[in-house]
Amino acid sequence: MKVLGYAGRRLIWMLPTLIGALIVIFFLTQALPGNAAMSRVGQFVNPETIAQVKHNMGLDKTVPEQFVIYVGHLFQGDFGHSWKTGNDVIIDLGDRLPATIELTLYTLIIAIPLGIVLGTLAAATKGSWFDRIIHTYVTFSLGIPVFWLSLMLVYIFFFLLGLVPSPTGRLDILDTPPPHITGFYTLDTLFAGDTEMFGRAVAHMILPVLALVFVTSGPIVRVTYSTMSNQLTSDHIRAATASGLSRWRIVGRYALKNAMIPIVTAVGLTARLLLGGAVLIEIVFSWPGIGRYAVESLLVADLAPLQAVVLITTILTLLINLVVDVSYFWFDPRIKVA
Amino acid sequence: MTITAESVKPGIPEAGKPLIEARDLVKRFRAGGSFGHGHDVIAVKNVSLAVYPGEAFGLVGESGSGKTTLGRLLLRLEEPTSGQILYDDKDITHLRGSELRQLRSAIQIVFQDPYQALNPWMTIRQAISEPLKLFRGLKGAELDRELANLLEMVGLPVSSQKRLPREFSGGQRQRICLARALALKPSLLVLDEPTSALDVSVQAQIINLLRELQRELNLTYVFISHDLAVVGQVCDRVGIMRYGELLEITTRDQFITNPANAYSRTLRDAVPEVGKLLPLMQAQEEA
Amino acid sequence: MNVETTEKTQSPPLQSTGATPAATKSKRTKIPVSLLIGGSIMLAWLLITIFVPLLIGRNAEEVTYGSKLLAPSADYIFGTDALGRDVLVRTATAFRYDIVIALGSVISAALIGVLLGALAGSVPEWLDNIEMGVLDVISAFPSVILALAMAAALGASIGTLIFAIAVVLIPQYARATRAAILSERSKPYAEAARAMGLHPARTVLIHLLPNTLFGTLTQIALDLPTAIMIAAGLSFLGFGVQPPTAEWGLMINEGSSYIVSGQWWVTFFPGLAILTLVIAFSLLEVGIKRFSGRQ
Repeated sequence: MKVLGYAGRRLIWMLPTLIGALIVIFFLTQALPGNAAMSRVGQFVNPETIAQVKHNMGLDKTVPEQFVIYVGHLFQGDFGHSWKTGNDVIIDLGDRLPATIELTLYTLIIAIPLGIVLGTLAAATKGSWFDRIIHTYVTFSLGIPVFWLSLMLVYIFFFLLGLVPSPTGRLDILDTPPPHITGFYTLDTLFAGDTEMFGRAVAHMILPVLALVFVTSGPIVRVTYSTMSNQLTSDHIRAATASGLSRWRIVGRYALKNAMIPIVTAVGLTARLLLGGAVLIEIVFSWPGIGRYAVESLLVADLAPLQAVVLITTILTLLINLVVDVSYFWFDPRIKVA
Repeated sequence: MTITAESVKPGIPEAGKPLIEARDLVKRFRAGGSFGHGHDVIAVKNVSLAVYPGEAFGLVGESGSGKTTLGRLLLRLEEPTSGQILYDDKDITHLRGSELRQLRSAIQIVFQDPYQALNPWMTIRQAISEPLKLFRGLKGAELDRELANLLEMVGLPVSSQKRLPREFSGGQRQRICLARALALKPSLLVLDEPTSALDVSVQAQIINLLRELQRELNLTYVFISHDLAVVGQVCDRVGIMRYGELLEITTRDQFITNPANAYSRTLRDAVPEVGKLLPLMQAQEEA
Repeated sequence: MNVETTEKTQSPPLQSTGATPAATKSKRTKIPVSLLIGGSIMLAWLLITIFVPLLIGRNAEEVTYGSKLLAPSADYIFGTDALGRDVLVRTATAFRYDIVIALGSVISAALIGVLLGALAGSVPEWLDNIEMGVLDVISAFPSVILALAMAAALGASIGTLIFAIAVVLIPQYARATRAAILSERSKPYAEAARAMGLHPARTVLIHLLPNTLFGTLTQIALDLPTAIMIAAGLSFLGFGVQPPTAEWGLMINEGSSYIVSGQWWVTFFPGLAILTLVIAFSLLEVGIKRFSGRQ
């Protein structure tokens, strides 16, 4: 119950930041080259119609008024209209958000345990060859540009080895997507009973997830390694060892729990990095997610989608921060609330 | 016991007029809590005292008695919640900005922790010449002379100036702090537990130095300490504080032989060296 | 890269270092291996970017007709790209732009961030809160996306990249400096400065700030690789350095469409370059930590 109260309080503190972010997003997109009216009706229309549309859209009102209208629309779930796709942005998002989430979710599900396990093993076997390999792994993980890694993986596994399909998105070119239930192709294909397509959906995900996992596990391994090292040499662990508990039990139950706070911080960091990295990955693999949506819209000055994507990713960032903060409180009851 | 000119060390000029005076000082701190749920700590409760020029006034009490806060108030490092502070008959209670900064050259302080009281990246020369340059306008050869003079006064070799604080021991650092404080030629020196962080042998050196300097430069001290033996060696009068209140002011001799207040009595009785102080007093009187 | 934490406190050790003032640093401190390797890589790159184009005799934009997408060979050690340009020369030249962007953005961010942080630590609380609130808003955006939006709004160019990346990096410096200033303020030497009557600005700038700089330097070393990654990423997307300028991210993009047909070299070498540079920075950072730890 206390946790909820803390979460609630943090949520309230988040509001000013959110409002500030909205202001920035709004003004940033105003500053973008591109005409908001044209982005509604397209470019090949005569000036009178544009003036009319401007009036309808309220663009001839003052900027603060426009901002208020914009926020009002948001509350109603109206994210604007993309002239490029011809849809309301909210619909486009509905199509594309699951694609991005599918990628990031699988990445996190693999990267977090992997990172924690590798970091812990490295800390437990300090100085060994395994430890050194993990060190090198971390260096590369943090130093490799994710988009470059992806391209190299495509070259090796697609072109040279032919093990994975070409990077044409979530499915083969000729495939039609399964009926939409969750939006996750890996699940929806199973629900539709189409195991072959399921296989293809998974095959298309292998490289992007592999690249993302490689790049995002680095920070987790590093932080786990350093906190576990500290833990394992600390007094209370030594006491536990002296009292005869098995080593792995000590590591797993006692050391790990205390190490959770820095690890959770690293996970939060990773999740935030993923939001940015998703954009790059989606371009390489032609993945129809919100990252690619944002970039494509930006390229043709289609402003509403961009606004929406930036807004969503920002809210997600703030939520991640919130979850991380609340988890501190949960893990360490000593932390005061004030 | 009332404070009169006779209770002060005889022979001090202008013994009648206080150098610094506190009238009904109160200092309240707001501690902890969010959204106004915090509770107040009253560190100094209606304290009135006067310190006369040339004397060494001791402030004793346990930790948390408010003596340090009182010292800081006199220095205007804190601003009183209510009450008045008069320096040389001028009301300095609410001084701000450049006026406050001007006051600084008259009242200086030596802190308790010599290890943190010196800026780690400044050499001794830089640390001491800063006030010399900025407030006394010294430069060049004059600056060097005064710097050397100050170092000599506190018993440090002139060659120390090029060194960094970390190369010195605690006692030496405290001397450096003294030199820095004296650079502004203050009339009043507040000493906040200056020997508490030092070894006993070093304490004696510093105490002797302090006594010497007081004689030579005609300084006035407010000496804050919980160590009664040390206070007994330096101070002429003592004020005893407890829980923010000033319980009594008495002369050192009175305090050792016959304190009026029951708490003062327990304090005095707790000091193992009280017995040593009596012969010391007598030796001083004969001197 | 070294994974263990080396915690460096900012205040000097509490034990006294001997009674005589004559204590000198008698041992010559050894330079750690990581510092040497990292430094060598940086030096190598400097030499490469200056001399390789000269030695080869071609420049980054030079198009030799009939030499499109040639695989690496004796003539073209890294091969050629889709426009017939020498990949080796381009990779070597691109270092200049990336290092300028990295240094420019990180150092600007550090300077501005430190000043903002010092300001926040010195002004009344309400002003401090406003400032931190603004920085919180900036940190709320994912870095790549914020930089992307800014680069797009201001028009993609090297200058915009430096600006956008600097904005993304500023909050950390400000926060760290602010925290350090607040902690230093309560220390006796800061109070001594106040007791001396120093102007508060002087106290902060001359007394407090230098003691906070170690953390800033470490952060700079950490941010340099980040800056390069963001710059490359943005250029990869088309919103950074513009063609025909050689930049690693841009080159990776230019080569990306040819990966599926097997022409790997256009993309491979620029990415490798980024990797080596980032590793160099990491080594330097570890080396600096070790070196100052030994002192």
